[in-house]
Amino acid sequence: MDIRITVDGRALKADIPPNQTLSDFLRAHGCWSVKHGCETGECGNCTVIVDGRAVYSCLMLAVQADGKSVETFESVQKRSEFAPIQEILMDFGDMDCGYCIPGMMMAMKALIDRIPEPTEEEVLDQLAGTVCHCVRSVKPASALLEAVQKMRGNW
Amino acid sequence: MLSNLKGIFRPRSIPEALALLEKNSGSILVMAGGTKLVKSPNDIVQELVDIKDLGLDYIKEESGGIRLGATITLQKLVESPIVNEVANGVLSKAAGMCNRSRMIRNVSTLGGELVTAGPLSVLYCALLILQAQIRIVGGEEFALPINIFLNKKGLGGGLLVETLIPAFKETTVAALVPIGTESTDALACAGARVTFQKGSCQNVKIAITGCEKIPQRLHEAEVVLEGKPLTGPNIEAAAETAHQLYRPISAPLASEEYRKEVSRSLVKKALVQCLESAEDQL
Repeated sequence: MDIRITVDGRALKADIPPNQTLSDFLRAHGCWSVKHGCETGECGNCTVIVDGRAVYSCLMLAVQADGKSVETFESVQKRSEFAPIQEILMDFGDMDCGYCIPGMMMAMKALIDRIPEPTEEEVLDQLAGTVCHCVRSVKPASALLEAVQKMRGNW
Repeated sequence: MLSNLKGIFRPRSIPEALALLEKNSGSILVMAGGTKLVKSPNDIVQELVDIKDLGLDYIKEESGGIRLGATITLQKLVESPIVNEVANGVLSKAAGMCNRSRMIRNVSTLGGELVTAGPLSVLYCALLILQAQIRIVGGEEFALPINIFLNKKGLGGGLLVETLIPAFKETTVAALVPIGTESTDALACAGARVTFQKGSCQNVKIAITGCEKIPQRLHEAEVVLEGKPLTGPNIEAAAETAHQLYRPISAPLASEEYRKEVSRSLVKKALVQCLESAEDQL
């Protein structure tokens, strides 16, 4: 099936099998920050932003994103060597293996794009669909909460 | 997954969607959000009808109530001021409880939940106490009361297009009381709706999840309160009747005995919350 998707500002056109997931499509187009995790919508490692809303790309067919704008963590990374939020997380030393971090960051970015100064409750609600298998989300959540307070929209 | 999927149709109108469903019956399925479908081990489905372009992602407020399109997402129900205004926002709360992950709620739709949810669905519970109607189009167009819709098997080639929530009096209050952890679906959930008229209860609706197959209304418990004031003893009597009537399932995380035991408390809490809301609002 022919689809057109804007990925991190790049207009992509592709002929894909109808059952290809968005996560597979994005990885096939160089977005390696989109991780394979549980593949069942539990861990959030594949989280990307589609038309402003955070979604699990493993549970969405690429065809469903036809005509839409997709943001992956590559869009955050490419603006500088390290994005400010990455530096904050490194300062906290809370990244452990780092596998879950791109998904968590995209979940947070979607929240902060809509609500620049979210409450702790809103942050925890947003992170409820992401899991850090190293430390069960507790440390990343606390680091992201602190990071949000320091970021003030400065991605 | 969906290993034999050969194509996805994206109709632009309801008649076009219905024609596709009629022509390809057997190997075709309707897809709304797709969160439950994409990873399903279904090797029979060869074609999907994606209904996202049918313009059914709306929340409309009218004099007779509100109309919710089939492809409105659960998260939009959570966030909608219109839906939050209806009967203490029980439908918004139920939509939020359908899945703890916002990433799922951003994609999952009301219509998709309605055709796939099971006996523990808090959404069904909320729609039962709100006496929602489900509008289906097919050979003919009709609206089914939610309790009849839930007992019906399949849509018979029709398409679920809309959920209708009636308008309620200003003296109507409602509550949903689930039990469970934040990381799991509610093990059981009771819902109650009461309209107060001159100090007594009218149009009492009580429902509970965890029944066999689908959530159920507890009519005999409603009758206990009808026409009476919502006092402590009357609440206790209704909760006891509900406990006696409740025939729960035994399922992972909670046994039949456990659900039975907590049912009295859940119904009581739902009615107490209705009373507290009434005291705050009325």
